[in-house]
Amino acid sequence: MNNLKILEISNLRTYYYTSRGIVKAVDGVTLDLKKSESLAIVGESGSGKSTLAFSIMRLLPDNAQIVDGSIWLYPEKIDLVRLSNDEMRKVRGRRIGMVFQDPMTFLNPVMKVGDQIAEAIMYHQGCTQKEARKKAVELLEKLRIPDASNVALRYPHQLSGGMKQRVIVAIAVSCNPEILIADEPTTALDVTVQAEVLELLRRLIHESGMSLILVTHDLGIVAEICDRIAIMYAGKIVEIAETYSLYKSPKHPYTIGLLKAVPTIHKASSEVGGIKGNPPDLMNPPIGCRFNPRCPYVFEKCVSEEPPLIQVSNDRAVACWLMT
Amino acid sequence: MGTYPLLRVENVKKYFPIGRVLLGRSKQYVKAVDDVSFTLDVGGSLGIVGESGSGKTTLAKVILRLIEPTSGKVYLDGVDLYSLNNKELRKLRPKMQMIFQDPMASLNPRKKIIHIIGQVFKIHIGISDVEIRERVIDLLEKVGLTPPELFLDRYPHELSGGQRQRVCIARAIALNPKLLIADEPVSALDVSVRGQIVKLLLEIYEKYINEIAYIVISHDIALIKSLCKDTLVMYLGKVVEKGEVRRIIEEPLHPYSQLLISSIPLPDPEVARNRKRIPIGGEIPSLINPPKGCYFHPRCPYVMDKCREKTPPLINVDGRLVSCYLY
Repeated sequence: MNNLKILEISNLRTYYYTSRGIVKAVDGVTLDLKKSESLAIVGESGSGKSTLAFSIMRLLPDNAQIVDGSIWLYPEKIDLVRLSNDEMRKVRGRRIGMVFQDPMTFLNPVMKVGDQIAEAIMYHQGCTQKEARKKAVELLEKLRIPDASNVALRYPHQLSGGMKQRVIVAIAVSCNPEILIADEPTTALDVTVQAEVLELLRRLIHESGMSLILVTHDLGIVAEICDRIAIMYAGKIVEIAETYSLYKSPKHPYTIGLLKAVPTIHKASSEVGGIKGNPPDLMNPPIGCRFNPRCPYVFEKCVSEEPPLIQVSNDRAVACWLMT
Repeated sequence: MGTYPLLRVENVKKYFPIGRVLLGRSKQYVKAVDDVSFTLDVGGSLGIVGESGSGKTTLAKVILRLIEPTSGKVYLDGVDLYSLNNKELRKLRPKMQMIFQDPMASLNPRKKIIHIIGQVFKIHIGISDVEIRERVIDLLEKVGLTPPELFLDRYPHELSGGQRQRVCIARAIALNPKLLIADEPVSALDVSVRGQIVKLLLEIYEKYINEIAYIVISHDIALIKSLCKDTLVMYLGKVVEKGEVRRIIEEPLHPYSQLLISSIPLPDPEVARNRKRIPIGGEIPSLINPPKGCYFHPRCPYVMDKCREKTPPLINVDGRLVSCYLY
């Protein structure tokens, strides 16, 4: 890994306009991604992590809008937020690939999987169908799918969950993108299959030098493959740190609670704690620090002023008044 | 007060017929639960761990006779559940309760909390409305929904996921059951809320430990470890290993248990990146045409000729039960 920036998100705000009001799903996120780095975005449901991922891809639903901020793609430093749809279509797939959570909903059920991979290759690389099909089979082989030429001729429903997810990965990486965004790539899979898909992702980014943004709620899977972790809560990043030091000494009270809230095989049951209360309603987020109603260390400043993300050491930034 | 077997499960099977019915008989079956036996003492806690399709939920439902078994016997407190008629079974229902995975789906959206919980008293013991109100308040306090008066008149949609699961737990313990089964009790909840519910379940178990036995079903052996002493590991409808959870995690004997334990994502980068990985690939085979012999043999790195021929029996190894020819 080197320090070359490949993506820089600056003060991004993505809001949903609903009949009940405005949901500030991503509310002022600043983040950068380096070349060959794998970065995790961890948060619970409703924390805005998927909205952030879909904002980068500009694949938001109609009622959502990026209202502020920029997403710079390097080295040209083009702002993805300001690209036209046509220009964005050239970035999507070719420069940034995406793996989605549920493989069944993102594969075309009436098209052979080999053709679905070939379609992306034909669109972006402009080769003939025959060449594209050949490349698709090669890709499946690279993803360790046994009997790849045969699998390419099957329809999604004939494949298992793990296989379908590998097909999705194949489509995402078919044009050698510089960045791969994976949104909960293994949540729909069984644990033994999940381990395999993760291993595959790890090998793939390692071999190709691709950068990875892994979006997940599971602190377990990011420990295995990510270099850096950003913790999101209620639309904001509350802590961002290098993986080893984050697990060793989490600083934000939410991160501390989150690490305690999950039972693990090495934890005694008495060590399982929890965070009191529930994630906030993003239509009416708490004033001040958004975590303040659930925080055990809350004091006056937290309920009136919002803490900024403060760089506390070389590799760590925390948004908490305790750090000042 | 000594322990005695509260639940005895003997050779329970549940086959679901599929495909074309020929002359009134189906030719193929999905063997969702295939010959499972175990006993559970009062004060005991048993986990059932397995991946989707391993038959863990079906096993729970068959034990409670929420679905009819294909064959086998289940004794609760010495009573043969499968010999009872509907009326007798209904009388016994208060003794065995279940907490389901999705609290939203198991609570009636049109009823207030007081009616949802109060209904069990109405059906099973017939007490006055005033008494019901008192008991529901008491229960809400027990499950940490305080102040309880605030929750009585709310509807399920007004509660958060964690609160809903607390209501489900309150309802399940309302009639002091002897057997409590929790099916993936936290997997529908937000991560930060899971710890609260695990703590609550542990509190309740500790309070009633001399009267009840409980079963927790999950795909997550870490959850089982924090809630149970013993566990069954299921693969394709069969028990492949049974023993103390702690020991199975430390030293899994069955190759499938080894795969399962080594696949668990560990939220600790040092341990996660330095551990030994088991080179097992492949996917879970279909239950419609399971492999001959040991169901795990197509994925097993230690496979022998014997494994392809006959299903290995559960044998005692070091105080654990394992179904594998390696031992």
